[in-house]
Amino acid sequence: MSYPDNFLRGVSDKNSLTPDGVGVSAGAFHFDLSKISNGWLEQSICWEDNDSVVDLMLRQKKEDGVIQFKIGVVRVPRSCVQYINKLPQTRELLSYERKELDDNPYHGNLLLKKDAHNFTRRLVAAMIAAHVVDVINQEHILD
Amino acid sequence: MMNNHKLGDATTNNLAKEENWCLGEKEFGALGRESNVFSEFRDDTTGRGFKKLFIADEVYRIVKPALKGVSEIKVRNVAKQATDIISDIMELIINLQSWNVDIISRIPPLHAVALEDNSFLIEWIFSKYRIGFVLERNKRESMWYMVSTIDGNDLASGMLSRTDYKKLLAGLIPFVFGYS
Repeated sequence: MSYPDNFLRGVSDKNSLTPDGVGVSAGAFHFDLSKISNGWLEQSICWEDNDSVVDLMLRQKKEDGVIQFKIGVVRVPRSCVQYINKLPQTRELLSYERKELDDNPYHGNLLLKKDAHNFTRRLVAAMIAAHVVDVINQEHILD
Repeated sequence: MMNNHKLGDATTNNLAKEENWCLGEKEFGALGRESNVFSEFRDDTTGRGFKKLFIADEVYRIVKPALKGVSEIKVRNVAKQATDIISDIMELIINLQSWNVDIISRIPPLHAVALEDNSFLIEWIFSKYRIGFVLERNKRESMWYMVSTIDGNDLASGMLSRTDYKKLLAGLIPFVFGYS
């Protein structure tokens, strides 16, 4: 299966960004212990297969009609996964997948081994956040 | 102009020695400012009532977002850990500011966010690296990290409970100064 160079993560909490809108908190990438599948913790992302994915994410709405990612989306290079997997503290703990949804063919997951220690989960989140290359806020949406 | 800032219900022992926290006229003058910030902390653990703390504007600018975040912490033990760290960082910056006052103005604010699992994250976020403190409900699991995207300078981390915490901060703060 092929993957693009970057993935996108939606941001719905204003506290996930620094006030200047440039820095991204590691909190935006913390793995939820309740989202487990086949031995992996899942963190929802979208693969940036083409230029329309950002727009699709920014327009995405929840069931109640409210915008899903109120703050915007952040772009992360896929290469960060290999980078993190080579570090002694986080070796071979991280993976990814495509998991298309009916209304989102770009959807996928970052995957962290479910038995990873809490300490390691925090580290991985911080490492991913450190690799964010772009913050695209809701003002970028094309009307 | 004097502003009054109160740190909610959070408590701290570290503020007990308030004489260590007051910026005297000399230090205040070194900042080249005519105003200062007046902050007030309640120390429930000692029952000694309110502690008064003077922080120069620039130092307050750095810690203000983190202090604001503390008010959102739901777990008292986590709030205590957070105020301790923020207090110690303030103390170190105040003590170091005589090096070069201009550097302080380049230090980004501490970012803080309450996580869904009731832990609390304090981070200093720079373009190429970040320093973080994750404060857990179980204090023994609270941790620190320094993460970088620069090859060969990737990662340092540890449990706060197993670290000479004061020495750690004393090492990290000059690093922040050096890279700001």
